Amino acid sequence: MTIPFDLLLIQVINGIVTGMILALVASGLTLIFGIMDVVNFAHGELFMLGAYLGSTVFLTTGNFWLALGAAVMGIGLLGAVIQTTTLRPLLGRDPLTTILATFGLSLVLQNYALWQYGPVPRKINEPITGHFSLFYLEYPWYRLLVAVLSAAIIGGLWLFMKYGKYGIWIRATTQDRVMAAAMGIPVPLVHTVVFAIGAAMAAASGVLFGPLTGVNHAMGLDFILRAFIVVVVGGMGNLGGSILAAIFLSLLEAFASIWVSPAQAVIVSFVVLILTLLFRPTGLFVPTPK
Amino acid sequence: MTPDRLPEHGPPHGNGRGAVRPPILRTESLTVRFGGLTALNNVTLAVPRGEIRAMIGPNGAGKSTFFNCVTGVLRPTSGRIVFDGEDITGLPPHRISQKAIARSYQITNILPGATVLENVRIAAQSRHHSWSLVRHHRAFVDVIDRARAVLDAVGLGDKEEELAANLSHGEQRHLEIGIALATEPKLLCLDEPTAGMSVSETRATVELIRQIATDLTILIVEHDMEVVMGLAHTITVLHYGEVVAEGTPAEIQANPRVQEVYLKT
Amino acid sequence: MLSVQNVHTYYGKSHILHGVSIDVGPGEVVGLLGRNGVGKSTTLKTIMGLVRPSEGTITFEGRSVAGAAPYHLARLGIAYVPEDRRIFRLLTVLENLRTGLDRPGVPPERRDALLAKVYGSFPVLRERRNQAGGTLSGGEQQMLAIARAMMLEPKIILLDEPTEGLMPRMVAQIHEIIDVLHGDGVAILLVEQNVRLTLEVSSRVYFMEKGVVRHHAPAADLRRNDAVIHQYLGV
Repeated sequence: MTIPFDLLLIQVINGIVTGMILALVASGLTLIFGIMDVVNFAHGELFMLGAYLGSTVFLTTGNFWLALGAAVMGIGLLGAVIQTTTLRPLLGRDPLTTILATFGLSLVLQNYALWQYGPVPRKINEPITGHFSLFYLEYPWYRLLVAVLSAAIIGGLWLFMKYGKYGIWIRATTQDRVMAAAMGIPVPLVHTVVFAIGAAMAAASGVLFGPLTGVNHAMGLDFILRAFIVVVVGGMGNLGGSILAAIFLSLLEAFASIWVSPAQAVIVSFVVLILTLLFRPTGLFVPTPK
Repeated sequence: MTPDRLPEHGPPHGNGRGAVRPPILRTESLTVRFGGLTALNNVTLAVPRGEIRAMIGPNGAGKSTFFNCVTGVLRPTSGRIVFDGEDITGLPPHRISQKAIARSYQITNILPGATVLENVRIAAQSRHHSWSLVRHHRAFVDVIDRARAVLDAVGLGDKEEELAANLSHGEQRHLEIGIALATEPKLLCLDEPTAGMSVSETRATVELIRQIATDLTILIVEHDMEVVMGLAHTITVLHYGEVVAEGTPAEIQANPRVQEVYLKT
Repeated sequence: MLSVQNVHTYYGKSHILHGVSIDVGPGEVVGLLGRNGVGKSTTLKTIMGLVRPSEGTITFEGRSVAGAAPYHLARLGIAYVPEDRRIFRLLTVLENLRTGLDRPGVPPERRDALLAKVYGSFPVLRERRNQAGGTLSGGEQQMLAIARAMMLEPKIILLDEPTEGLMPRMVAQIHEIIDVLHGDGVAILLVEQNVRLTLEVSSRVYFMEKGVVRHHAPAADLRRNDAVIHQYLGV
């Protein structure tokens, strides 16, 4: 059975768009793991809280961009506070303690969100409405905007790490935190800042995602699950790898949904995860370890 | 302020080298390469039964690599290892243990949550376990007796109920030796047994090793020259993976090549 | 300037330093010799805050610094060049240098002057300034590790076995660099196994054995009478 070209192209675009948001969420996760060996199980909650905070600001100002900015700043700050109070004292201990800590954090944040915002879903309206004609489909401009924005944010992060004034501090601390400290780099501060950046990225993703599915407590639950898969498949701590993995997995799922329902298409991601763990556990997009 | 020299100790039989009986451990052209790096290069040596053999050499000389080959942790690139007449090259560690080679580690491998007696009993059990549930009860008593005997041999007899984590560092290292002894080895490999010990703890450990050496062959890697000179019958000096010299402590001390290797002057 | 008094350090239960005492005056080059496993590296790591002493004091310019965080010590003027060099493999040579150069309070002219000076001492680093650190040879990495420490404009550099694994030609370069640093008034605490180099550059030498300092003598005496050297380093 031949697949119509237009269907294929639509799925490619869908895959890339979803992939970019996924990459944004996964980048924050892998950045945090790469620098301080912390698996942030609260990442999904930061995503969700970002969306909620954004929706509140949107409600009062009616401006999407203000909502995005507020979410980024607010959740970034929350991330800094969380890291300083809960995670910094645990540095150097058994990794299991940090896993438990972030897991506990996720429970606290979930319940906080329920208490603060109530069970009623919220709304964020997309800043640009309207569709363009893509073959027989009316494709929303907003989806493209989301992909572009995600790419821009990730690109901005990459540029900052490579050329920014303190980018070197972050990269040095990721590679060898002991030697970075011996070079006068304030490692605890770098950890806090990176966690805040990761949290801010999660929040940005939440706000960007908001108009697509509505803001509710369960939003992006399977999205976050995919983000963890992306981080493992891309190589934990490998920023470029997680971006490639995000797009790769999203494309695979998009193609799979040509034949099965999207809910079943996620099986593809799990299959890739299992294969990665079996044959290339350090990550598919990582150079072969020596 | 010269530290006291430990009393000299002669070889157990005759000249201690090239004795009448075949060597218990023999390597032939043992070579280990990691990519471009040659960790061991054509190491051929023979350790007679009952000897205390020390391996010394500067950092990176290949001592740990040699140990790892003999105890099955590492597979040599080429060459052979023959133990008690049997080729054991490339055998995995659990098979090596069955051949009666035991090893103590630089970082202690004791079970901190178990008592001293339990630690040793588990090792003793590995030697004589049977699958039969019926015989189990009586065999258990034998194992405990054996474990107790080992504890006495290493001087921990009065601490059998103590949690291993509560022992001092020196006692923990002795426990480690006890665990190795409990497997009833013919060859005991000791990896820097006095590392991190005070002078008095070191002396106690040297005494212990001397006592247990009576019906055992011991291979020991050490940096502490006093320990090495006082304990060893024969010393093998490694440098960059090759055997540079071999002989009695007096011969090694008088060997200018060895001084060169160590002093790099 | 740097005073280590009766320091005890443990790795878990392993008692590595049994009361080490060492002094380094401003601008002095002091050697620390001893066989493997006696605790020389551990002494440097304890001074640099990479490992916490359980007992004893460490003072630097009158301030008590035992157990202080490494980045604080680097800011105070203590630089560390570890035994395995530990350059940042994925950063370029220039970026490696910048980890020490990018400090608050360094105006651009001084930055450029520092860079120029280090490129002058190590021309090969200028050549390779945009290459990833991991692609450098062993000797070049050692140069980079020392140059990186120099970027901190330290008052004292803790040098851990800089000549290990280096060819004689590079050992001579290390000698030159130590002379340059000494000329600039930088103090050096040099841990080494290369006796000749140590005697040539140091004014005083400590000898360690089993976690304690056992002997201490001016280098001049040791050059005349090497019995002590054989005792603590030989076989």
